Amino acid sequence: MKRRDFLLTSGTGLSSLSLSGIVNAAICSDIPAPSVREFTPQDWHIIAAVQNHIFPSEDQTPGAVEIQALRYLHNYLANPATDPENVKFIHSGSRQLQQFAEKNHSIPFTQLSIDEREKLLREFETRPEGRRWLITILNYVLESLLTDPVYGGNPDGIGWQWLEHRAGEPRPPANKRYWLL
Amino acid sequence: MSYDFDICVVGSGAGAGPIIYTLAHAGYKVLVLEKGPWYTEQDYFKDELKTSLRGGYTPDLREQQHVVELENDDGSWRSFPTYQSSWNFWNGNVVGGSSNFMSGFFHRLKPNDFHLLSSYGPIERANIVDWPISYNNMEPYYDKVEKVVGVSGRVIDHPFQEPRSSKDFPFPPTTEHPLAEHIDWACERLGIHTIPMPRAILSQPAMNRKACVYSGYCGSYGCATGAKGSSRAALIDSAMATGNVDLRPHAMVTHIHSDPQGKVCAVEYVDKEDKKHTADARLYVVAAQAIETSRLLLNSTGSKHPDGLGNNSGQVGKNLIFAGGGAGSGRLTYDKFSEQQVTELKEFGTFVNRSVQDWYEITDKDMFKSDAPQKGGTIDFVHLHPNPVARASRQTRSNGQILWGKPLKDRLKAHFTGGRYLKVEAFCDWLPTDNSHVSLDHQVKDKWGLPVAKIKVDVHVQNLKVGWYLANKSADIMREMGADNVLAFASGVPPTNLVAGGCRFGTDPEKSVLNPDCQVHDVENLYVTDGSFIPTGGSVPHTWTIYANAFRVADKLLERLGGQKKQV
Repeated sequence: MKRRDFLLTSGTGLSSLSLSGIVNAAICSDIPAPSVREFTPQDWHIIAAVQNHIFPSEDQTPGAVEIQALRYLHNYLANPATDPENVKFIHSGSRQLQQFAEKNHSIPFTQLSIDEREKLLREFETRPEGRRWLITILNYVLESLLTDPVYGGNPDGIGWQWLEHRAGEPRPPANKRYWLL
Repeated sequence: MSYDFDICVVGSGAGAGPIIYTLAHAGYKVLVLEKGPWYTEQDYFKDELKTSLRGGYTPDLREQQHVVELENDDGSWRSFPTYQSSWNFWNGNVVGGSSNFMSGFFHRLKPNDFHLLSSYGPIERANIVDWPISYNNMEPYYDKVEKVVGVSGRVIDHPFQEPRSSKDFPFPPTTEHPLAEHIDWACERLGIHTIPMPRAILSQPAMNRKACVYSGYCGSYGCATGAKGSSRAALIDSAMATGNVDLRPHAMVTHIHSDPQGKVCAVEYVDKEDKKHTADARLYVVAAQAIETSRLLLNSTGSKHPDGLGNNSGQVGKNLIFAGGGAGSGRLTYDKFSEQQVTELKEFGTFVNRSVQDWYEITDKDMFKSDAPQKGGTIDFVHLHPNPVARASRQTRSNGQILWGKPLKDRLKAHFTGGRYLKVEAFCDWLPTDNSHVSLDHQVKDKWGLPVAKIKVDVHVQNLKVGWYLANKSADIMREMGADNVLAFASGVPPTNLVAGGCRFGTDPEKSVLNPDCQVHDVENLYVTDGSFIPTGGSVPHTWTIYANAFRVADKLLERLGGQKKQV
């Protein structure tokens, strides 16, 4: 199964070992990540599933997979410059969504159908905490779509091309990313 | 008595640069203490994360924040710290200060702005005064800014054109986007004068600086060519070349010490490693931007200044102002224009550069319930800011729900590719009142243990009336252009990047902090040269006036120090 297909369908029945391998391949972080150690493969999997639901891939347009939204988010969360409160918030939100799914459907979020996911996320949105978490996840998806590829999303400017957006010059080199200056 | 330096300057932005530049070129030893890092053209990139989303040029709010006090609908007041709120009053703590990140819309004040009280009379609940100097006193320095900082533009005749000693700007206008023509055509049909917006951006290389390369990312972004007239690019780099300036970045001034006579005797600052230092000088200048200047003075108590330096009349921090006004936007939808026009409208990088000042003074009995002319303002037309994440984020709500999935993607596609957006920024006086001020918050401290500034924000209803008037006029122009989705409104939210006042200048020490030369009334060796001195703000962004006034004060300081030193 291709990584893209896997992430699109957030497939079922995989062992946690293979899940971990695939998620790690997706995030392939170049930053040491002590702050994200508490995120289990299951956490990454549910976050990926939500990203893919709120920003789906289509034939002609990039979705969360193509813009490397999971890798981008991982880089952000693993960055020592990131406010630990934000890391904690994203982690706790993914756990709450898992519990919410299991309470309402008795199965993990990642095993729900697309329609069931939509319904569940809309219900999750009615909770203030859930809404804030979904806005946050969407925010980092949009960053992954439209910030400079040097940050790990928007590979080869795929998001810019889709929206006919012109990036400004000079663009940030890797040694002058925002936390390095 | 010997001093470490002739002059010590706290801050390095638009209020500091002219002092540093003038005195260094005159041969005096200048110490500059800037709390932020020292970036050059090689460090500025078109990086939305660094610039706008991660606060890359401002302090971490966990370590340094403010407290804001706002009025509730029932007239009571609430206050909250800015960390974990959407408020941020920092504007660029780097060498050159926030002038690095300005858009450089440069307008002079008009003669009437210098005597607002005499010209338009009092307004209830507003602390309107006349300035202690006139436009004629400032004009030579506006002129100097055009030439030294570099202002591009073209003078045209219009009803509120202020008097000028130079016939035209020293640099031609920056290259204009085809949108400018659409504005001109609409205004011509409506009988409105348009002005090529003067900008502190070099349209051609000069003064060892490159010309603008039209990257499309100007406001909020540091300039990678040096074309933008930041205090650093235009003034400090040149001052450094004299060898007379000791510029210390990462130097946070924590206290200004005064002696038993009340004179400043030293400044205390901490470096990047939080190590404490002191320095002294014959004269001292504070230019840390309005809010932080008031805070530093209030924190700098001494035996003769028990309530803060220069605060024996309780005036430090009072009459804080912002820029009042409104905003608007409209979209020229591509399917309403010819193929040729669409190609032109899609051009990227050049400036809109159009302003309207026909309503700098307004007579409208319906709106203001008076036949008397009212002070109005300026309308500036600009591009919608190109920051793509910010633009995309604004598309994510629909009927109270978060928009996601295919509907979000469709909306993003339509927003980014379906038309050209035009934005309006309207400027009017933000009237000073008793309820707009800076004080110290003794509960919330910064990482050095110092009380942070508490900013009380009061919006006078007159700001909103004038703001609405200008916003409605701008909407008429956009509709005449054929724009869709026209939206225009007055804003009561203080623009945190357009702040002034707090140490107003005047002749009465009981009602002002500074004398007409911007020297603190009861501290004979201390001056304040940022926007703090401004008693009423005019209907334009403050930056050109801050630059001009700092050049004016620099001449006073130079005279006091003994004039130009002979070259050895």
